[in-house]
Amino acid sequence: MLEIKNIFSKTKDGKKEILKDLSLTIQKGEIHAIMGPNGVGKSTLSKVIMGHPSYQVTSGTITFQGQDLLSLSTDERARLGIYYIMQDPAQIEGVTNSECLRTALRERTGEPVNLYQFIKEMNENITSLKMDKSMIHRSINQGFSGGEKKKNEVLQLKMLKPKFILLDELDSGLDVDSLKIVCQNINDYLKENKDTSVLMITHYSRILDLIKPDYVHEMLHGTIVKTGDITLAKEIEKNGYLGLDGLRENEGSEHDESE
Amino acid sequence: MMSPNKIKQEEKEVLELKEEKTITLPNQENYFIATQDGTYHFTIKEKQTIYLWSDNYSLDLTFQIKEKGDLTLYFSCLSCGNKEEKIQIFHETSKTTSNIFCHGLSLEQKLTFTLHGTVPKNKKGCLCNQNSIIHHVKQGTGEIKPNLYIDEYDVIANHSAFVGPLKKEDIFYLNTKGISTELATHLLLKSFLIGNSKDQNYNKRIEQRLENLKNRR
Ligand SMILES: Nc1ncnc2c1ncn2[C@@H]1O[C@H](COP(=O)(O)OP(=O)(O)OP(=O)(O)O)[C@@H](O)[C@H]1O
Ligand SMILES: [Mg+2]
Repeated sequence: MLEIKNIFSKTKDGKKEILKDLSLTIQKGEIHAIMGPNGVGKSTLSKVIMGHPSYQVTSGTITFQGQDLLSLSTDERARLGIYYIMQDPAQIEGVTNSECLRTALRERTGEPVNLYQFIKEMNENITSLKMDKSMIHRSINQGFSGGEKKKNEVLQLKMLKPKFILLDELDSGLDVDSLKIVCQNINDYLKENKDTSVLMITHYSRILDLIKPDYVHEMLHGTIVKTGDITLAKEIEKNGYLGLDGLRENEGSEHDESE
Repeated sequence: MMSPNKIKQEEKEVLELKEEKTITLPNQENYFIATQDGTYHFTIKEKQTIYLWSDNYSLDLTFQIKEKGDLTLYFSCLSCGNKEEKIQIFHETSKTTSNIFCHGLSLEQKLTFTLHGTVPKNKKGCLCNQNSIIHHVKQGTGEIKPNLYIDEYDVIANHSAFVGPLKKEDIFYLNTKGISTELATHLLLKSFLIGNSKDQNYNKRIEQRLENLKNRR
């Protein structure tokens, strides 16, 4: 479904290379997780998939359902069915959630949204996410708490019905109960849409106990260095990242001296 | 389909700014649309809110704040040529308030906001706030000249000014929902210029204008 091949990516100004020869293939219906220390390029990878204007891809390819993604604009990628929840979703003054969603739906179908159907579906999803109904008419994420923002993004996910879900630290900002509610909603969606794939970025295996990944990747210095299953996540949580151990070795630890 | 019990939003009369003159405000909340360049004087003696839309006119507005005057002004404008919008606030009585929000969209050449806030000596406990933003698209540029003439210690005065394009991150966010840059820009500009106005006639004028721009692009 999503195929990333030997991607190299720099900031737009060309000053910093962040992704270095990264490859990743995600098949229909698969759930993948990426873990890695701060600053290794996890968010950059998600933004490059979405075509964020701050980054350029210097070589490599990304295809989605066989179609070249890199030649498409961000909104075109989204309309192919890729839904992205950013690490820190934007707040947009004056544009309401309802306006944004109805516009997004209309852009997809080219037809006006059936308001009755829309409101009914919104209300169902708001209830299952345990959100406040009033938020439909509030500005996007304006004055929302960190957790409310993430819930709001998942609400939009359920309305826009993506084929591919890209989650950048969905768990950050969510308390234990909210995380359960949000993951339950995503799992329900995945159960109904068996072909939908997920790529999620996280620092903690807690979310991986709720949304169970088929593969866990470890990312370091702009590329994937190790792939395994959930046990890799547990291992990372217990022993730290491979690279950090590596660093310690390079610095000449006791372990080094004994050799 | 839509349920019939939809609340009808209250529509107030939108006044037109036509001749140069001194204007007394009829309501607590007042909506104005400029229809020519000109100089206008307002006297504010109580708590009043003004929404004022100027579509490519240069205005010179003076507000005298007296008695129990407490003005909130939402000034929005669009310019496609060299235009200057001048807004002067005089606090003539102690404990008067002015909160000025100026939002401009510059499409071509230069839009200038010149803002004066004056609090003379011995007019104590006044509040004088100015908040201005000019967004430019295409070839437009903008400049904000804020001037606070405060001759009194016991006063709260603030100004903030920003000139620049729409925030890239906002456009990107809307793009990730599948909304094109053109429509995203339209949504953002609409909320920027209409703000929290509740008057349907007033809002329609601005929406219509932006709609025309969108079609022309
Ligand atoms: N637009 C940019 N300009 C300059 N440097 C950038 C830019 N975006 C990212 N970087 C740098 O690239 C590196 C990777 O950033 P990225 O946000 O992808 O990390 P991350 O793996 O998501 O980290 P975290 O776990 O903290 O979220 C960081 O060192 C960051 O400072
Ligand atoms: Mg990140």
